[in-house]
Amino acid sequence: MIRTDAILPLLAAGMTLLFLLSGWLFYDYGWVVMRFPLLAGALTIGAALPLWLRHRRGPVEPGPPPDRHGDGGIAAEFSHYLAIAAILPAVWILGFVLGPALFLLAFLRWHGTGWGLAAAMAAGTALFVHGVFVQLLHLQLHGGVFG
Amino acid sequence: MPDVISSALSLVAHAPTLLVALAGLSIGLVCGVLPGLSGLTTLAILLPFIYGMEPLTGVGFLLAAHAAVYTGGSVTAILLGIPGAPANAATVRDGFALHRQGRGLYAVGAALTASALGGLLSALALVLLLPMLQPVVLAFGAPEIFLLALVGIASVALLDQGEPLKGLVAAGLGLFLATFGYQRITGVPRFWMESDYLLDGIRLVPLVLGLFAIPEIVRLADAGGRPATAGTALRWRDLARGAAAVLERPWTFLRSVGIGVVVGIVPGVGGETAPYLAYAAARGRRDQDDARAAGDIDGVIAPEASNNAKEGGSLVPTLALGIPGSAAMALLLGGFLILGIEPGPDFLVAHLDMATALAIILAVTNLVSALLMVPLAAGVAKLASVRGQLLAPVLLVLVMVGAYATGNSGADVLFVFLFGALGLLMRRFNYSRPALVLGFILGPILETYLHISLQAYGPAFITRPISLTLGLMLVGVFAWSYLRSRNDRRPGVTGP
Amino acid sequence: MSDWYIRGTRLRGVLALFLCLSLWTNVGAEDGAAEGFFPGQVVRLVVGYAPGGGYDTLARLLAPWIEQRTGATVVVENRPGGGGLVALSQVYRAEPDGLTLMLVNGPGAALAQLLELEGARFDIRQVSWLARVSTEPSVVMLSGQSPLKSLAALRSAAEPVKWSGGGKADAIADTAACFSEALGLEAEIIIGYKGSKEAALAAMRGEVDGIVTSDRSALKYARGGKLMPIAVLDRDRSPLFPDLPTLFEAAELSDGQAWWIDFRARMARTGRALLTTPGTPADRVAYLAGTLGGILADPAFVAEASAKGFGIDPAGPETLAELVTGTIGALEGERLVQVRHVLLEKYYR
Repeated sequence: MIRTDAILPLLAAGMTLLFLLSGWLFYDYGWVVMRFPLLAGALTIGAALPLWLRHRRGPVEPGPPPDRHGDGGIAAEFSHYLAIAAILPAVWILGFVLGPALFLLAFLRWHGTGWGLAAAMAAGTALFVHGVFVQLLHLQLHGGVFG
Repeated sequence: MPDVISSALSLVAHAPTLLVALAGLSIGLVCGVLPGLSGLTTLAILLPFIYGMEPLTGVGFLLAAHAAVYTGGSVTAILLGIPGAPANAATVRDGFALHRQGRGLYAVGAALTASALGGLLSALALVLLLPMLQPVVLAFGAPEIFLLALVGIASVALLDQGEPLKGLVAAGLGLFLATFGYQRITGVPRFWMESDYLLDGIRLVPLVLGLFAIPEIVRLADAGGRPATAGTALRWRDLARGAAAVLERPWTFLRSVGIGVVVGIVPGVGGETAPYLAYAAARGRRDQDDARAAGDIDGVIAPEASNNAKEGGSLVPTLALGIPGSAAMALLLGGFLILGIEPGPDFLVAHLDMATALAIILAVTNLVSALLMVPLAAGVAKLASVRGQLLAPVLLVLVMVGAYATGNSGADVLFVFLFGALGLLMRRFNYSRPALVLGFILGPILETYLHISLQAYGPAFITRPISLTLGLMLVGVFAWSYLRSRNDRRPGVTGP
Repeated sequence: MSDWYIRGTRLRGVLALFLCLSLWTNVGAEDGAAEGFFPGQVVRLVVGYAPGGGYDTLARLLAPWIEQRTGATVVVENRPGGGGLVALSQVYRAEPDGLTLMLVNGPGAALAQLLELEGARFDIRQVSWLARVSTEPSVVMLSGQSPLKSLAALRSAAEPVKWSGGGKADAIADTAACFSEALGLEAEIIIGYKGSKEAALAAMRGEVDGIVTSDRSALKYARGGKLMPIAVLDRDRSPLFPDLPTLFEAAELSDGQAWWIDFRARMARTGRALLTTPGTPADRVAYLAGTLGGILADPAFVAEASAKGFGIDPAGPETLAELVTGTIGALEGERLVQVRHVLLEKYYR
């Protein structure tokens, strides 16, 4: 079983190794092109390996203090992350004005905010994005799949 | 000299110019506070508005906006833990920690004062250096740039956190991510996975937003019904104490300003690295490397002083040689061109008073924006007491718009989330995110300028005087890190 | 795209009618139809670089003029990436309705295609050219810090001459390569500098011996005194340097040697040019080309442009097409291999 502390060194070293291999096998890069990535990769892997090994064997010192955020650990954090990532499809489909509004509504309702406040904030956000970013600043924001 | 100054003053004391500059700095402050809108994005958005303005007014507008961004961004960094712009990311660590201890306004006071005075000093440096600048810029060749970058990354990787190995993993990862996209010395695109977007590699703004803003937004969402930051009373007296703190630490302050000015002057390194270098220099002297430790006010003063100081520094090569000291300066230069002025050696001869006037605008902007920020800080602080679950989605929307607006690209937004996941992991396991960012920024510089140095000068490049000095500094950084980790292993020192 | 989405069969009849109408207006198209098409439309003027640069400024200069003469709304769109190649690849594939225009780096695009650079997903010979706005012949400059001070010195140099550049196809490095080839120099091109200005700074410092840059930039650097112009790389002198000889005047070149300079100079003459998507209806192309030609010939516009430092050197679509087919269109076989070798490998370590 991999201890959670080993995730990051493993991920860093693994991803680096993967790309280095792709450079060699798939892209067929020459030495001049590969030498800096190899150096950077060696540094990353070289530093990550002892960290990974150390955490695999279990904590040598007392583990990190209980998380100061008081949350339920890494799983809880990632579930919040996924909830937040839901804004991506909303914006992609409905654009930058309506997408965030819909997301805000869903997000706030899901977290228990009342309908009134949620609707008001959703409408406010849509108006702000439209009024300030689109009209005032003339930004060309994605208008959604139907836009 | 005196008539140059008086002529510059008369140029500045022109109502439209002052009003427009005021508008610019207000916009800059707001953009700075809003996470997602970096200084560069702000400039890009404002550029079209200067058409038809008089040269000094138009450029003064842009300069004021840009300089104010970092002042505004520092408050968000401290009170919300989210950097308003990439350059404020170094302020988050200690600034936010101080806020959670209830000393948020102390940190804000220090940050604003450091920003104002740092900017002021750099404007002064600008005026003094402009006439004699050419030899300085010309002395900094490829070897010097390479070694400066090396010292920078070594300091941050080895000194920033208690665990050098983790710092090295972070820096290494940053260096590796920097290799994606066109290699500057051969033009070959690396690891681009047949995606046009990745031809230019990974972009800085999504990287920083993802690493710093997303984890904070997640935390806010997690806080749910609780206030964004719990138990943080606002003591306004602390502002004054914070301001005094800067004056009590002249060495830290001046050194950070110096770093900002020098890094700003050297084209190629890019001003974004200044706050990280200043931070590492300031925090490298800690005895305890406890990552949970109480925030150290030095860790707020250093980056904030230097990220305002770099403005004055970057203007030097931009005005004197027409060579932009950073991406933002390139946009500013574009502003000049739009208004019909061509900065460069002859610009200084013909328009020294305009250059001096710009320095004056810079100085005044820094002071005024710091003052204006005080009431705005109250507003931001109020935000911090809003329920986390209300604040999180709104900030998220701002971050997304900011990320998209930078390059009109949806891929940027996607990368924000990708790096957001990485940022979450790094924060949880105490890996230095600034080290990653710095590795990312400096990677291409290290690779390219080492190559150029070897080609242009051969291996003897290290014997050039400035290079030699920098090389010795590098050795010093390694020695310091080694000694520190040895000291921590001695019996009697507890804690992770 | 959503206009084409049809829901329900009732609308098919409407669609059929619509198609007939549009066919009818396209058949026997005259200028009148094109002129009537643009008012009220939104035209995108794409720039492949970030805001604030030369191309962006020029585009923003042109936009209001185009608006005034066509009645359309012109929006300048910055699409930086891949050195302008990504934007061009996109414009190449846009709807061929005449509403997507691009202010392109002509020689840059041609070179990218020639050298088969990643990101060059277009055929520059197929685009619908509209007008050339300006050209910039190249000038060879030597550093004040270098022991080499003249063409003769270059030719008899004991060590390889060092040139600086940003990237292999950035008009600085590749022109330096052509120049070195023409004179038969031993040379090394050091690229990696972040843009032409930094490359010039390197020359000023003495890190390299010189740089080959556009005449506009050369003028700035010459005024600073640290770089000295040596020759213009074209058959005609540059109006910005009336006293500077061309390479042909200053040195005896064999035909084989002259070919390199002519080749590069001809490609440079595509300059900053306006184009639109291949397959755009001929009447619209003609209308736009005519309108743009009118703008570029208008003294008021020329004055406005030159106040911002742009010299206008207009040319029409036929000239542009000819330049393109004459240069990259004419390269094949041995010569093509040789050109690629010189531009991509020969002077790089």
